[in-house]
Amino acid sequence: MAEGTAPAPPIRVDAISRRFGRTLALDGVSFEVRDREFFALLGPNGAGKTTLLHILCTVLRPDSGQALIRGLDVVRQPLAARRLLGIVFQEASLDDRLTVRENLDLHGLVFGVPGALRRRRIDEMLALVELTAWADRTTRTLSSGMKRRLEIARALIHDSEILLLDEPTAGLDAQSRERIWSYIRRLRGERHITVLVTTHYIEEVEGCDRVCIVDRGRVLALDAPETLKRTHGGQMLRIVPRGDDDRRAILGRFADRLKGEAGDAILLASDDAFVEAFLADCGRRIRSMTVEIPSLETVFLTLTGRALRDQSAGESERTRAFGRRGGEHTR
Amino acid sequence: MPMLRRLAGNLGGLAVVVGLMLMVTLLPPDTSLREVRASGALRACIPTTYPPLVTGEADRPGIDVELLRGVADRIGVGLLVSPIDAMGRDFNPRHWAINRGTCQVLAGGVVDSTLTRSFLDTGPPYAETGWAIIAARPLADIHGLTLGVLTNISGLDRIGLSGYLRRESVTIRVTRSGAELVGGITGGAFDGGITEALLAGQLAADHGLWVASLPEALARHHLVLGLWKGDITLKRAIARAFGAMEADGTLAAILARYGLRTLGTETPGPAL
Amino acid sequence: MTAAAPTPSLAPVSRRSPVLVQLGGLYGLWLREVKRAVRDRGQLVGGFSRPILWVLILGIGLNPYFRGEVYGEVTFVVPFTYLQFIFPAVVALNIMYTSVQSAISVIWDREFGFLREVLVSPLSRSTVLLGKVLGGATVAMAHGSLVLVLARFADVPLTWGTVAKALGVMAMLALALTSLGIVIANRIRSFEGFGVFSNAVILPLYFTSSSIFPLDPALTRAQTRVVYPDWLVTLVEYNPLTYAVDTLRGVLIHYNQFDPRLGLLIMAVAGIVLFTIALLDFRRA
Repeated sequence: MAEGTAPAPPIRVDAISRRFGRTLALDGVSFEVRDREFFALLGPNGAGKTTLLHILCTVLRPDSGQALIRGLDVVRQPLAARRLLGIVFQEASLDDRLTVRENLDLHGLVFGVPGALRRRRIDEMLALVELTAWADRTTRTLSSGMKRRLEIARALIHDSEILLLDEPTAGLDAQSRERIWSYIRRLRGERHITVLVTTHYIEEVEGCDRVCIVDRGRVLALDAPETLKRTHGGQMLRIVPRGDDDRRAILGRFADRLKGEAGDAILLASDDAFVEAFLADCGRRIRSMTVEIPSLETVFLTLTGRALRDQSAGESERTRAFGRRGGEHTR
Repeated sequence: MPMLRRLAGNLGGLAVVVGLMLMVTLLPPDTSLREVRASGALRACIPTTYPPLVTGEADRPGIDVELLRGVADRIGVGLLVSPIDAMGRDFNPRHWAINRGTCQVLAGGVVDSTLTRSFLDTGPPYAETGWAIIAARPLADIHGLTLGVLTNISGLDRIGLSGYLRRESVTIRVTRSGAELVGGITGGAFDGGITEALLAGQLAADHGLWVASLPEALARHHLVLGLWKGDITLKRAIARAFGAMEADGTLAAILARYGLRTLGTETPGPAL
Repeated sequence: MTAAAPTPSLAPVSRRSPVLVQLGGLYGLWLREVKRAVRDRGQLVGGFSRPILWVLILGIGLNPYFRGEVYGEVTFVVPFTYLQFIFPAVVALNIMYTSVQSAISVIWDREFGFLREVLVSPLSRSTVLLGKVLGGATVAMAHGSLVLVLARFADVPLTWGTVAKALGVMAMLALALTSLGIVIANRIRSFEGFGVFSNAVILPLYFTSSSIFPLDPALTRAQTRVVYPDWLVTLVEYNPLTYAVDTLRGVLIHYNQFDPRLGLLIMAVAGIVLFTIALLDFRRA
């Protein structure tokens, strides 16, 4: 889109709801992503992020509400909307019998990228995700991190100006995760592109322009990470009491400051003065105490009343998926 | 050359498979040729006489016998001919009592028709035949005549012939041999006689009769050597021998000796 | 590189006409099927071993029982050797296996995400399906042609004309069967492996298609039902593959048990109907 034509926003979501059986996966979700923004959807597994993404990439219809990609309705103009989208799904969607280059070439053909441009873009994108040396290897020989990088490269072969990434770093080791974020950062410097990413790794969204926190199908907050921390965050005390008596005493005394309980620990809203007062008062009743400075973690806790659910379940889910994929070799 | 290498990588498996299959086709599919070689002779069943295919004369034994000799020579074995009396007398091949033990090849009037193929496989064609008519003097029309019919060549379409003759209101007299047919014509019992074209030609030449082929509506067939079904290796050896005889002119020479020409070069004779 | 000025190759793709995009995508999907098949060693082994087993082992093994022993006595009514008789059917068998196998890969595409990648592309569902069907049919035809390599061995003389006509019939058969495979695959939610298909669909269709024993055309219907039990004749007559095999047999060895046009008609109608059903399923999915 050329500058100055007052383009429609890359993504606009208007009161979208979607129900699966008795579960309300999305409950009137609305937001707008600005041009060239790095936008993160943060929420625990099952918050409705993937459902929302599937609606945005036109494979799922909303029950009500409207989703627009550059003003194109995803239900009524899906083909036109798809041309603008580069999508990386949570589950791998590569053809594992084709080579890296063949996968990219097929994508280019399917999206109608002319031959010469296609070849040039393939080379560029392979260089971007550092897979040039692997170009003629069969995809099934790649590690899961490399596959994810390949999928990112693939999403950029055509004229995608909106990149949708569904949990791009899930199931990857820390090094691969960092690499993927660095590619995305570099890409934003080189190409006119808007990025929407879903994740449940809280530390990964710190670098985003804006974060949208979703839980149970609703938007809880939407703002820049710093603003979120300022408004919803706040210092917190993480206390582990010595015994049950001590726990009861602390809970009884600071009920108004209670932010939540996580295992043995009790979380209390805090500030510098409170820390001193608390230590003077209950210093002998605690086994350990941590002062938590404002972070998205505390923001999330404040908004939802609990920590990001079962982070490890995501991992085991991926393992199961991988096991299922292992069945492929028995075909 | 990376493209070539990629192509080779992609099509390598396919090429191996095709190669293996081509190698398989070189395996002999049966034992028929091996048996012939082991016994040192090609055994053939022929009628006692069926001019010009089989004459019974030592110096001019007939087209089929000479062809068989050529084939046996080229396979590198001798020829063992068993004249089967019944072949000239009876048109039902079942009564000839020929089996795989008696001979490997049948000759002397085997035509390539669906009927033949139900029982036998065939070698390459070398001449064409069909039904022909002979008479003491030229006939313009056979309507309502009394004709002798000799049908001991089993592969030709007898049902088609009898249908045709019935439509022409011909009175049919079945005969059992060439001599009987010619006797009937020269004796005046028949207005003419119908039999297989080569035999008709020979009889006409021998007895100074008029000869013509019957209408195209009655299918014409190729003369062939008969083989047992499933004897593919022997069939291939015979086909090779025929190819060689055609190439060096032996085939044309044999046919010419009996007044015939090779397939595709014949001049059409008179037709009714 | 400043943020505002993208590199030249990142400039927008000049808009190709939608027809060209669909055609390009069709080619891409077709090429994918072909490449996958060429790299699938298992499928190649099957394409090789089936004709070898059927033509070489079964054909040669049974040949002595079907060859004439006494001139004039009929044990096998067809004017061909057994090997020649089953040869066209083995071509059909190889096409059948490969078509259904290719079509079944729709299940894998669905399970392992590749289908999703195509479904979020600008290709219409019918293009996606057509690419799959054409690709599968091409591979199936190639496997059918593998059998033709054995023609000399089976004593089936082939001319270029015969081969061209046979390829035409094979293409129709492959298209119809691939569509059938996709219709089945669309209805399957859990996949237990290809063996189920082979035993439940392919082999029953094959064995009841008059592929390994003839219904003698010289016999009347009543007579046929004397030679074979009623139910078997009925099965053979109601099996559409019977007519396809018959047409192919007519082309390859010039022997027909039925009107060869019937086979062409059945293949064309079945192909169109099955493709339409597959497309409707696909649109709904």
